[in-house]
Amino acid sequence: MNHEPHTSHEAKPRFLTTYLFSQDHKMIGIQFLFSGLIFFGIGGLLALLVRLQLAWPDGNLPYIGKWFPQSWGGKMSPEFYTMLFTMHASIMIFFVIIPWLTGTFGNFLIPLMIGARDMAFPKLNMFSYWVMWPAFIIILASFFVDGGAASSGWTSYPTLSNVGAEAGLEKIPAKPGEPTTSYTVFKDDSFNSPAAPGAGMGQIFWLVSLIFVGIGSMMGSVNYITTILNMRAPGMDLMRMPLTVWSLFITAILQALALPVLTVALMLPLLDKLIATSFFLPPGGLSFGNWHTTPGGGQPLLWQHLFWFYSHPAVYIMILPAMGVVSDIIATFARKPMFGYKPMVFSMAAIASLGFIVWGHHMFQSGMDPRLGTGFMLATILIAVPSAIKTFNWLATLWGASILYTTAMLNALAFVSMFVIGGLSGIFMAATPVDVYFHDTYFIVAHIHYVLFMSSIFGIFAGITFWFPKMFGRLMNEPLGKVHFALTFIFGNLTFFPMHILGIGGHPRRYYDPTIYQYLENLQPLNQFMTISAMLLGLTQLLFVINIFYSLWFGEKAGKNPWNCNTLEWDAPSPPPHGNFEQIPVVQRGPYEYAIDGPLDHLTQSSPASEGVKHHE
Amino acid sequence: MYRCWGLLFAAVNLAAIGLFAVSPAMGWWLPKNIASYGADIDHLFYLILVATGFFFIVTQGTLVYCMLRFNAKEGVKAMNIHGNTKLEIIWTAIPAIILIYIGFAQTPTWAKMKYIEIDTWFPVRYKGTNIESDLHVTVLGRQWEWRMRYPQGNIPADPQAWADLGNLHDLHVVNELHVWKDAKVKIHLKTQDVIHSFFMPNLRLKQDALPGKIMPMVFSPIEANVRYNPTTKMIEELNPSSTWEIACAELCGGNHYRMRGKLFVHETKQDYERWFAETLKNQRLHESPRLQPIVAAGNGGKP
Amino acid sequence: MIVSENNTTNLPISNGKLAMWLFLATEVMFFTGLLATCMLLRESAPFPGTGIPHWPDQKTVHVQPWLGAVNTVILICSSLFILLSINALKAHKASSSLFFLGTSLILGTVFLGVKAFEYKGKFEHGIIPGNIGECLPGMSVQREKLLQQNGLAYVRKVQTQLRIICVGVTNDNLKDQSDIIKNAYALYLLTLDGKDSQNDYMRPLSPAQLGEKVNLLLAEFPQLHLPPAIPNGNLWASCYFALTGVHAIHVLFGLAFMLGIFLKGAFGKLETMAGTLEVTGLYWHFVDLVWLVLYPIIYFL
Ligand code: HEA
Ligand code: HEA
Ligand code: CUA
Ligand SMILES: [Cu+2]
Repeated sequence: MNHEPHTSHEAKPRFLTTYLFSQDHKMIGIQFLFSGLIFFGIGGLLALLVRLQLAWPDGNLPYIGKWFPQSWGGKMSPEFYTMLFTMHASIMIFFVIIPWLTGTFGNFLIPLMIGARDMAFPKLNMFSYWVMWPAFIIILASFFVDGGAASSGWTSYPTLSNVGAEAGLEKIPAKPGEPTTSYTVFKDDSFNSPAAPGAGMGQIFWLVSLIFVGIGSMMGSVNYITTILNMRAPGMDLMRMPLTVWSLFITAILQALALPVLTVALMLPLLDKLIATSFFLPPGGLSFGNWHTTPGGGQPLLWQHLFWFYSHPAVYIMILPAMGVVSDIIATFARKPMFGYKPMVFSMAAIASLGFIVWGHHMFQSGMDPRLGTGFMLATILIAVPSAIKTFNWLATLWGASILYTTAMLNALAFVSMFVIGGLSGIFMAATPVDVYFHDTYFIVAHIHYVLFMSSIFGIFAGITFWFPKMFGRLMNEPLGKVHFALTFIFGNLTFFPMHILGIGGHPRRYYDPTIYQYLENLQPLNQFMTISAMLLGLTQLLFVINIFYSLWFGEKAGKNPWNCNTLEWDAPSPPPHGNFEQIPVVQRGPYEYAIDGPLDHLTQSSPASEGVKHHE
Repeated sequence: MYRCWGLLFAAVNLAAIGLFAVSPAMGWWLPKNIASYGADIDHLFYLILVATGFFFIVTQGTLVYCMLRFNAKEGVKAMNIHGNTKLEIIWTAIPAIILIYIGFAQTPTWAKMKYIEIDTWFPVRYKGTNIESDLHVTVLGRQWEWRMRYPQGNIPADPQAWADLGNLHDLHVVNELHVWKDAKVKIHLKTQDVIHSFFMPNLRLKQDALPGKIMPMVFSPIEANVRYNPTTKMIEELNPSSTWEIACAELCGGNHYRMRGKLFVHETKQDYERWFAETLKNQRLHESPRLQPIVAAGNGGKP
Repeated sequence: MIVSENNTTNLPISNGKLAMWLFLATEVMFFTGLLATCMLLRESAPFPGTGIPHWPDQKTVHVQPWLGAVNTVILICSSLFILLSINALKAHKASSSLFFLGTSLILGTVFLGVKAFEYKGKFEHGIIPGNIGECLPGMSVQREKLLQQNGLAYVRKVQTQLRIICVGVTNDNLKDQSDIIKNAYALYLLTLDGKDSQNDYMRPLSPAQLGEKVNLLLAEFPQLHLPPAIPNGNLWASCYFALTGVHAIHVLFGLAFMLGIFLKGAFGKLETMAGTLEVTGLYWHFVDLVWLVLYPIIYFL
């Protein structure tokens, strides 16, 4: 298959079906890869703007100040700031991490790794990518609508997010001389919200966009589960599946069970805004200056329960596939069998199932019954046990290993190291009394970025580097990759580690200008330091982009199995043709037969049973 | 060459530990505690810091050690081990025990903060009674300021009804919370628009205000920061570094960051009552014949 | 569709069926979420002033259990017919299979028709989310004072509607008007801000009083279509429309699938659609099941 994305005019129909409306799981995975990359750039730039504001809140910036409208006084407006971090988080989570982890890895790897020719439902698969496009377009368009993009945080708590002009809001006109009785019922077609400019149209766009993401992911997860349960090659028992497949399988189950609840959750504020239902309007109604809503009867707190019922499992959706990927990469480059394969599988299942009963730890300060809080606290803390099992098994895999420091391996090792930091900060927040203090401070922001940026993204970098030769038939550039890794590792830590200190100092998150508080004044140097590191971190990411595009055309050609890895995808040519395998492989053993006795270093899953038979390279 | 990577990991982790080590000295640490239960929270924080610090050092240390020690060498194969049940049990049990200990170690503090009497450390047996308070204050959050309402005589006859509806003789102040040292304060937290969160770092206390609900908050400060000067009828800070601030910790719109209030802990109850009487007098002067609920003190949340 | 290469540990059911079961699992979570939400809201719905949970009864919100019962029977029959259709196709009786499928399709459509009729009734009585007055008797004066600002939205809504109804009516030409206009105009005058300036909040008619009056007026002249006053009516309407609306959309999708199969069948290709028909049947049973849960909750609780 020709993989150069240029094509002559005559080949246009083929171009469409190969690169755009492809039903081939590999191409869909690659499509997710590049869409994710674009959104990573956008989300990252938004983050840099956030950092810019935090470091120099008075807005006395030499050049950048001029970019902002005069009406904002030549600097960022507070409302704009809230939009920045809201969209930063939403884009990073729903348009970068999830598409990369489940979209790219799920699509590309599942059929290859279980020895199937494609997904169970290729058409549904294509569809699950293409329903992401309305989501992409809507979320991008939301920056330009009246009032600006959504600005109530990625958590979008009502009543900041659900009050709309349609919800019975009225303006009392203060026309001089007119009797107070001549009220006009205020019907505003622009769906303005009195709560915040971005809580109007922008919020509606945000909700609709996420509903599309949800539908896409839901279709994807049904497809993955079916494929894994029903399409495995002969001999590929469940307990012979690589951990990547296991992690994607468990993730898909998590998604299938948690996403519908998010869909419900998203639907309700949308109805509140569009047809003036009152799910999240409290009984007494609300007053925003001169705006008054009708009395509702609903419960603002309900959203938090629904949202976190999805979003806590979602954080494991955002880490489990990375864990699987990292496990495979560590075993490959440690040239050593995975330590404790079964505990690894069970601990992932344990994380996933415990993940459903801990959502309350985001709501300790929302007026929760203390006894309920205690229950959630205990469940949360227990999640550290399966996480500990995973961490120790990775370390045990490295013990006595024969480590090859490839770029993929380095990123995977960084995942382990950083996940420990991110996970340990979770223990502080799980402890209810300590969380009373830490809740909504930068300690949480530190936690978020250690688990999401420093863990998941490192896992993704590792995975992309590792499977790039399978995707495109060429290896990524190693020296460039190593430089990128080292700089990301250093600048990432310099950016995010001090956030712990900020949190301990009590620095609240989502603050446009912390310097007006006396007790935060001496933390400002840290903020500036972090901003500079973040800028460098952002620049570093360009290396990754350059590496990808450079290697697409000029990378070293890769053979079938450049890493001497055992799993089935390395039996197929690089890149695999449509249908993946010349012949469906017959699986003989588990995926981690490294450092075996005898002349061979490793045995692939499909090489014939008789030992000593030299397997083809 | 391969050692660089192990050393890089080691360096980054050491830098992380280093930052934690120097932060208290730099003043980048927990703000001064003034809550009766604050010491317990801080203890718990240090307990978890020690436990997590231990695992941090163990895991990162092992990782760095492996990276330095077990690089690939010509002709040397890795060990062929697929697992070890005994080890798995050990490293499941140890963290589990420590975690469960952490879990139960915090329940008394949690109960103390909520002012719930418990007869044992076991959370199921909460008796669930609130303490008697010396002072009731209603705090109403709105975009973007805190409106405090103080009852005459400190304790209203029916606190719940008072918190709900108020009283004609209440004192209204914006963004200033006045209490006295060792008072058992009960705050009735409300909001008229979106969710806010009443955050007092020095009291280690934070509570979301939910629309349509009245959230209780209880605390007792153990230190004073202001004195009421009866001659000037002004409040004087006891020392320049004792400004205690109130922040909003839940995103509530563009000016979320500007919901800044101040906490004034008077030295004695008399001081507080003098301040109350004086301020109420001023409020009466400014009041129109009709009840004007909020005095001109509202500064729109400006610092 | 790509079939699995032999693996003994793969599941012994077809991909399509497995996927449909998985999809239904997500649907179960969806409806559980929505139903739990509505039940929770219902349980915690406040009674104005007293704090006792309160929910509008079927009469005030014009819900007719017998219509729901009819719909239940229709949907069950429809579900039954699709079962017959599947069985007939298995026995290779394509034409009777097609007939059963068509019956099922028609019954499903009738279900939606009845639903539309019910919705129409709701709209006519102004039972639309956000349009129902809520401040009602039973609320203490103090409580009402607190909520006055918000209750006013309702006052203004009624006032505007009354003004529209009474366009051109003055004290002079009042005699020539019909009874209904006279009453409406009388009420309109009551809503006007008056001389009472002692109290900031007390307008000539408080929301509660107005709600009472509106309800009385509506009882006499239902054609007035003023927003009625029902405690927790907005919440009830929100839940009602969300639950039944989402279910109706599911019915619509089911019907679309069945129509597709039916059309293919009409061209004699029903045999090729056996798998799809079976999966659609599965889905249709699920939709039926959801209705069986919704029906008692909406019509009787
Ligand atoms: C990939 C994402 C991810 C992951 C994996 C986690 C993992 C965990 N998270 Fe995190 N979390 C988030 C993403 C994630 N989180 C996000 C995005 C938010 C913020 C949402 C928002 O408000 O915007 C959040 C918020 C959040 C809160 C709410 C804080 C607040 O708002 O007040 C809490 C509280 O309990 C918490 C706890 C935990 C815990 C206990 C884990 C555990 O799973 C961690 C377990 C791992 C370890 C503990 C490390 C390895 C173990 C060992 C080395 C063994 C030994 C350790 C001990 C014995 C202590 N998280
Ligand atoms: C996956 C999740 C993820 C990722 C990767 C990041 C990455 C980053 N985040 Fe983000 N962040 C969140 C998730 C994430 N964040 C969440 C959930 C919140 C909470 C939001 C809320 O409160 O609601 C948050 C909030 C948050 C805040 C707190 C805002 C506040 O509370 O006021 C800050 C502040 O420093 C911040 C900074 C950063 C920085 C500097 C990065 C950097 O790592 C970014 C570096 C990357 C780049 C700069 C991209 C460079 C790439 C290119 C240049 C490639 C270009 C490519 C093409 C054009 C093809 N983030
Ligand atoms: Cu009020 Cu944030
Ligand atoms: Cu969580």
